[in-house]
Amino acid sequence: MSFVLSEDQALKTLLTGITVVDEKNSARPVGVWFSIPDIESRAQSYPYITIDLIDVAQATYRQTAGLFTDNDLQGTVAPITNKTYTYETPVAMDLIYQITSYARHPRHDRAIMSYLLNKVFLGKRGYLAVPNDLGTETGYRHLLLDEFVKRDTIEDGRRLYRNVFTVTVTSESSANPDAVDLSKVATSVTINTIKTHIPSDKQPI
Amino acid sequence: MTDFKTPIKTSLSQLSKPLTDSLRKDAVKAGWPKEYANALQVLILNGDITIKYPKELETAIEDLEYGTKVLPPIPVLRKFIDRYTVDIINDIMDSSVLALIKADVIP
Repeated sequence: MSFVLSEDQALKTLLTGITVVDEKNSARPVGVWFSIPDIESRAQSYPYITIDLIDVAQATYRQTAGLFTDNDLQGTVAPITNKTYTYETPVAMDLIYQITSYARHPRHDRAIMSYLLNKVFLGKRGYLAVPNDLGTETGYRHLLLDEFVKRDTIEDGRRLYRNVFTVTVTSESSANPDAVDLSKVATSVTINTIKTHIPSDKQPI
Repeated sequence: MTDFKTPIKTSLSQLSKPLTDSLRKDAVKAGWPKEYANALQVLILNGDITIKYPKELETAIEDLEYGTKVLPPIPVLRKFIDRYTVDIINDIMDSSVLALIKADVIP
């Protein structure tokens, strides 16, 4: 995949698989959605996490430029005869995401918060594994926690625990648009097919 | 003793108005209601950018910024701070250099 799509997928993979414990379920899964899930899905799925891409900014503070011809993997191996690779320095980009967790149960809220702060968003030490298309190599991006905000509310007399994490994923886009292959993405789109739990004043999609 | 503090403070205080205008424009452009956009104010205190808004609008403004259970976030404040922090640092540096030149420390 390419810039943005790869990071989106990697972030979803990273956040998928979290479970929380309560008196009824010793491994209740925490759902992960891109942005706010449709109302049909959301109605019965607490706790859950949403991923919002909130900004894409050029990272001029770490931009370099030039055309590289490489035959020694940037000086890490002995030069390989008759094997060269030429590429233009990619454009340094920062992807800013808002990760929000939602829970009705205070213990779920704390469990998710603890997991994310201790295992995923490790201040300025977090990282995001981004596999290549073939699944043969994995690149690692910085995953930096910029801000954490508690946004608990009461709605209809019920508690809703929300944690908002703002994170930066350091990335890069190709300097050569012709080299970007988008043909492999969005060949199919899965639309939500759940038609239950829809409030009477809403229509299914 | 050369006074570096005053020119830097003066230079920074003059930035509040254009930054406030810019932030309000950004908020309206992003889709914030004008009532909330026009309540935003940028202050520069000790070299840090601070965004101030009335206490009574706090929940509504933060709901816009961070979203709610049913509304996605419309981030304006965080993007603004990210974008202008570097500009403020550059301005402090410019002011410092100007003060040094005026004081004949650097020719």
